[in-house]
Parts: sequence; C-alpha cells; structure tokens
Amino acid sequence: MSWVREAFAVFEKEVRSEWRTRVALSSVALFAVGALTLIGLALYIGQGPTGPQTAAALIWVLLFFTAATGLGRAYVIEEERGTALALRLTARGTTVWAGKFAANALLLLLLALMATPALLSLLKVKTANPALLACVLMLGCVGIAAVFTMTSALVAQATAKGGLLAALSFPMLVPLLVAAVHGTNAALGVGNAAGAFAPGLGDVQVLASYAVIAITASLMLIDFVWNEG
Amino acid sequence: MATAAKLFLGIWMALVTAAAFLYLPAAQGFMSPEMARILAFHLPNAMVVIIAAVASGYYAFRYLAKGRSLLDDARSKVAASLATLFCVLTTVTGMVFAQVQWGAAWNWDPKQTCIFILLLIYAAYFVLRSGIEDPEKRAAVAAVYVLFAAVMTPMLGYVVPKYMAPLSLHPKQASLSPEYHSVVWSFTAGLIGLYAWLHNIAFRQERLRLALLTAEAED
Repeated sequence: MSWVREAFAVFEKEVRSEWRTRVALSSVALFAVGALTLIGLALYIGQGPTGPQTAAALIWVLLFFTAATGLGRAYVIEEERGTALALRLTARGTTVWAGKFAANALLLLLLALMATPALLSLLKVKTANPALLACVLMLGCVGIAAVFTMTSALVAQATAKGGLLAALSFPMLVPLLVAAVHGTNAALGVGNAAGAFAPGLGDVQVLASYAVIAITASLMLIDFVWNEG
Repeated sequence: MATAAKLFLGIWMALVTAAAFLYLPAAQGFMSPEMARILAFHLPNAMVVIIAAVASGYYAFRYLAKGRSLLDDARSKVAASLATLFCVLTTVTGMVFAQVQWGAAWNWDPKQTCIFILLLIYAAYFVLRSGIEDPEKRAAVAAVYVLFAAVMTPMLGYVVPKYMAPLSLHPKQASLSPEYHSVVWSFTAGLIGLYAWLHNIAFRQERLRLALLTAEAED
C-alpha cells in the first residue's frame, strides 16, 4: 500500500472506532461545556470588564486544556486495548502517526468551531476579521494536534499518563500559544479597529511554520518510539 | 594528573571569585553599579546551561543513531540534570540582579521567559523518565523527547523577542569595561571545568548502577 493510502486507512479506522463509542468526542465536548460555564459564571460574579484581550486569552487556555483531556488517548488507547502490536504489524510508524494526527486535528477543529463562537457570544465580543480568526484557529489547532499526538506516543509508554501529557506538551507549545493569542487579538480588533488582515499576517506565518516543523519533526522521530513499545 | 587538575580548578575558581570582588570595577550604566558584579557569575552559568543542553541532545541523538548503548543514555541524563542545576543557578542569580536593578525579581523579559520554559522542559523530562520502568524503553522515549524539544524550542528565540521586545530589559549592547570580559570568560572556563568534573562523577555513578543491575539480573 502506498504511504498516503496507508495513512488514510489509519485515519479512517480512528474516526470509525471513535464514532462507535464517541468517548473522546463526548469527554472533550463535556469538558468544554464545563469550562465555558465556569468562565461565564466567574465573569458574571466578578462583573469585571471583559474585553477582547480576555476573550483571546481564554480561547487558547480552553483549547489547550481541552486538547490535553482528549487528544492524549490517541496512542494510549492502543496500549490499553492491547491493539498496539496488531497495528505495528500492519502499518508503518509514520503512517500510524499521520492517521492519528489527522483524526486529532479534526477533533480539535470541531471543538474550536463550537467553543469559539460560544465563548465570544458569552463575553459579548465582536469579531473584527472572521477570516483572520478562522486562519489563526485552524493553524493553531493543527500545531497543537501535532504536538499532542507526538507526546501521546511518548506518554503511552509511561505510567501516570494523565497529568504527564500536559506537562510534556506545554513548554513546546509556548511559541504557538504566544503567536496564536497575538493573532486572535488582531482578529478581535485589538489595535486593529478596521479589521484588516495585515496585523495578523505575521502570526499566521509563525503558526504555519510551527505546524510544518512539528509535523516534520514528529515524522522523523516517531519510528524510534513506535518500534520500542 | 587528575588530582593536579582538580587542585588547579579549585585555586582557579577561588582566584576568579576573589577577582570579581576585588579587581572588577563597579559596572557603570546600571541602577546600582556595585551590585551589578553578580553579572560575573550570572553570564557564565547561562553559557554552561547551553553547553549542558547541547551535550544532552548530542548523547540522546547518539543513543538513537549509534548502537543503543545505555551508557549514552546515562550521559544524556547526567547532562540534562546538570543543565537543570545550572538553569536554576542562572535563574536565581538573574532574579537577584533583576530585583536590585529593575525593581522586581520577575518581569517576563524574553530571556527570563526562555530560561523558565527550559526549566519546565527538563522538569517534564525527569517526570517522564521516572514513569517508565524498562531501561531501554525509558532511554528511547527520553531521547525522543529531548530531540523533539530541541527542534521545537529554537522557535522561542524568534517568537518571544518578536512579541515581547518592548518588555526586554536585558541590555542589548552592554557597555561593560574590559575587566568584565576577562573575569566573565575566566569564570566561564572554570565553570566548564567544574561541569566536566560533575559530569564525570555523576556518569560514573550511573555506570555503577547499570553494572549492578546487570549483575543482579545474571544472579
């Protein structure tokens, strides 16, 4: 089988087995709903001023921690089910990574698609440039999914998997999160009242190159972990 | 030979430390020139952090690429633990300096941010190691994490100054007197010697542990 078809087969398997139980999807969705409720309640009680800057920061805090609860299952679940060996026999390490990464990215994009409008309407923040917001969210989610899929493969070999995933991923995601928050600020009109695309262009470039680097590095390194387990 | 080198290193470090207080003039251009002498210790520590981080990455690469020797993994681990040690020393001396010169111990200055993230990476690295029982699996996973971090973190060098440049407090062109250059570089040389010595001791300890484990397995 060609590399692309093999990767797509893994992606298909991920989506299908997720759709049977919908464990990751529902846990991620419930976590997001809980976080949104908490944000809404806390700001309602505090009644402090919530501008677009608060919204931009909260979007990425929400996405990072929701990703940490849902995306870590990618490799862990194969070890738990005892299916890792069968997968290792049928597919290459890089295609398994690519398939799982695509499924994770899809899950995170779905989440961003639902949670971001909810959060923005909750905080009554207007979007100055929806196209820029969509670009920043999409590239940011792809980068986060790539890093979490890679660290999930590392964590799958360790005990105490829960908290470890966020601890391993956070330091590496700092460049992405800084650029993403900056770009979201521009999309929400901070220092960009006209809603132009140009103020966020640099952030989009940083996010795109981050995603490319994360994907390339993962594909080069994954075989060393995958063949170990 | 080894004893002579250790003796020389001890005398050298004592002399340079004395020079930092007696020979070094107060650094002009800072809020408190007399207190700025801590630079002579802060800068060399930061340079040794870089050396230790590169050594840790190099041995992780060698473990994966050449022969899968657990000794290389031990070298990588020892370098990482020393990187953590010098990271803490750099952060603490930097915080003392920042408290005196900039009014607050922590300012989210780009260099402070970067060193803090480096500390977080090494902390996560040791938690990851402690979570894996099998030595060979642990070595491979830890090596991959070190190399992944080595690829992903240089972006910080571009991203953090881009967004946080207005917050930068570190002097761009330090107008330090020539005495500073000689003291800082002499201390760096001594500290590199100290690093090599510490690395050697910790590595020998790890090697003994490995030998004990294999001896126990054979019994």
